[in-house]
Amino acid sequence: MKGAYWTTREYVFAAMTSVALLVVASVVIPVTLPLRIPGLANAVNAFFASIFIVIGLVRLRRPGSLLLITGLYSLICLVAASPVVFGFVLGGGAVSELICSGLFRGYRGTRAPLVGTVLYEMAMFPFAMLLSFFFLPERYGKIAPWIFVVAEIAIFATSLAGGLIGLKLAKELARAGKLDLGLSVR
Amino acid sequence: MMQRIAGTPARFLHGLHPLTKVILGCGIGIYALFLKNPHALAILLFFVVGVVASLRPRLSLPRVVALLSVLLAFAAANFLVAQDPAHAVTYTLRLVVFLLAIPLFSLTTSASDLAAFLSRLPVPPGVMVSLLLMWRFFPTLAEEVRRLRLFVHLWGKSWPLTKRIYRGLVVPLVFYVFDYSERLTLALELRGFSPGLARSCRQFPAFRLRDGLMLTAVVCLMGLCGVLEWARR
Repeated sequence: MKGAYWTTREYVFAAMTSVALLVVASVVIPVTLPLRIPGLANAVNAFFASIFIVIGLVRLRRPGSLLLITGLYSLICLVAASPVVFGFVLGGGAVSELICSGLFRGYRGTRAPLVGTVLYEMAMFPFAMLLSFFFLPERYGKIAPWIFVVAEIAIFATSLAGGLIGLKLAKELARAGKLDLGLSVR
Repeated sequence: MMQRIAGTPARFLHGLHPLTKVILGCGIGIYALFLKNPHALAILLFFVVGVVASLRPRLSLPRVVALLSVLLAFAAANFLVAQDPAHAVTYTLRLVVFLLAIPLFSLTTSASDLAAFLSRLPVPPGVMVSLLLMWRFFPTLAEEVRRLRLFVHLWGKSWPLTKRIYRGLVVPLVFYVFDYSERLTLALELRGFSPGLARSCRQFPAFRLRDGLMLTAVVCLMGLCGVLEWARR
């Protein structure tokens, strides 16, 4: 029997992390979406989502971990939320995984998970805008470029803050014996 | 995501093939994004509300009030931005159709139906089981979050906002994720699951006459909406 790349434990953890992302989005998005400020929903959601993604990456560590988490998340969004959400979540996940796999070859330590998470949140927004422009050109065609830049800066700031909190929490989990940070391996 | 509770009668939609429901939900949701005519959107909304109502969902008054408040806020924001009532109505109708159409699949498909459907597709067993776990445990984790919010609301009123969010919601939720992951891994391994082995399934969902009827009805409805949208310009 050919051994699988991911173990059952890793698949289950990635699935539960994706469920946590979906739960967070289901609480945050309905509150921020009616305000109609471009990037606001992404920036607020990025703060909470980054906490879980960083912990997920610290736990999984292998190359492809970010794609596994975001791939599962996007698939459940396809059938439970929207094909548009599927597109930008998977697009952001694939781009950031490609960059992080090239740069770090996995998610060992604390820097790679943090960079991966921030890249994912920032990469998702252009995909979201692109798909929104495709479906609603009369609304999204009018957005000035500086708004896009401000939104990306806000997403960077909130995802970085969320990621740092995620790392702090990962250390608490390591102290509680729930998570191995893997720092001794390096 | 709510599946049919054991003992409750199955509705028409529960018997449809999962792929039919995915096509319907995504098709109507995306089609609504292209429509700008409020009448066309109203017809689509009428159909989707009828379909959802046929499931007889249990709605509490606070939930309905919260939903209507969000929609009113959305409509008001659109009106303030565009200063055009037709624009506000169109965008609000489009949002409601979009929000109601997509979850038709999740509202009417059980984990076992999803497993049977996925086992026909070339999906790796690990990904398939992960999707099933997400399907099954989203309501559980959402319920845990609701309880955490209730707890923070009752006991954490004196806490600062950051502590409410971090210690009251985020930390317990992360611990829930770890706890559920450990228990589920153990349960799967005890049942002999391995990501390298293909799952077997005896009962595959089949396309029936009702699938064809439903798809035909929706295509006709979309055609009617299309005539209202594009032929009368």
